[in-house]
Amino acid sequence: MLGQRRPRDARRRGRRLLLVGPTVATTRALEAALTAIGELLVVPFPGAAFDRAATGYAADLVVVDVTYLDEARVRPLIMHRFETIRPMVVFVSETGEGWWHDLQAGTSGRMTATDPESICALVTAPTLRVAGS
Amino acid sequence: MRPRLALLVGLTPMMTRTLEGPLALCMDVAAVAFPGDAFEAAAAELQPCLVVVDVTYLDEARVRPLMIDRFSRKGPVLVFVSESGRAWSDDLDSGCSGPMETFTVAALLALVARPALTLVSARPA
Repeated sequence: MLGQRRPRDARRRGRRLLLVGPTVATTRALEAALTAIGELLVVPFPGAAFDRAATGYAADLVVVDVTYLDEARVRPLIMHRFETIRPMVVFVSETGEGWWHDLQAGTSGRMTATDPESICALVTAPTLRVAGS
Repeated sequence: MRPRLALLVGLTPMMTRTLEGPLALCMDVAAVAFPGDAFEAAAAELQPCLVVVDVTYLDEARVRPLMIDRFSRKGPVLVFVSESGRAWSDDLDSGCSGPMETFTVAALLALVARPALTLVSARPA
């Protein structure tokens, strides 16, 4: 399981969410909302806990708080560390700016809102169905 | 006399391995992640004489003013280091700052070394 993307049936049972290097304010803002949609692991960055989570946790959503981080150094490293697991990776900061990368679909973009609901929506399956299906 | 304390902030695993053991031979050592509750508690409660901040992945322009503000009343020597080998010290007690030409454990300890010389009164001629 280490370093592998989880099978889809495992994903349906519950999402795995990884919060990396959050400030106290970010933790307070996101912890409850993320816990509500899956299993949340919070790790500091850098450190042994992050290294273990990057290789062994198989996260579906990785939220990286870059409030105090040098994004030019950190973003390539984070993308590299998760390229095998291919989760949704989100970079947020206390300024309210955000950027998402869907490593499975190979798409990315700027987030216009980084509130908990917007972040959770990135990994929430649509509830609508096509009529007649 | 209270044992002296070095506080290691946000160290990478490699930097931790390099510094923790040798520093612990000479003083108490505490290590905390940054940011987070552990850092906030350490900044509020501990009285370090030396604070080593690993800025390998941090934005120094954001972090240095914050660290200086958080420790300004305690007067430790702040050292900002990165795995590139660059290091900068800020002595918050004396107000002296500057780049460190060599970043070694010995150089760190020298920043907070107590003078070994004692003042003696001049002998009358």
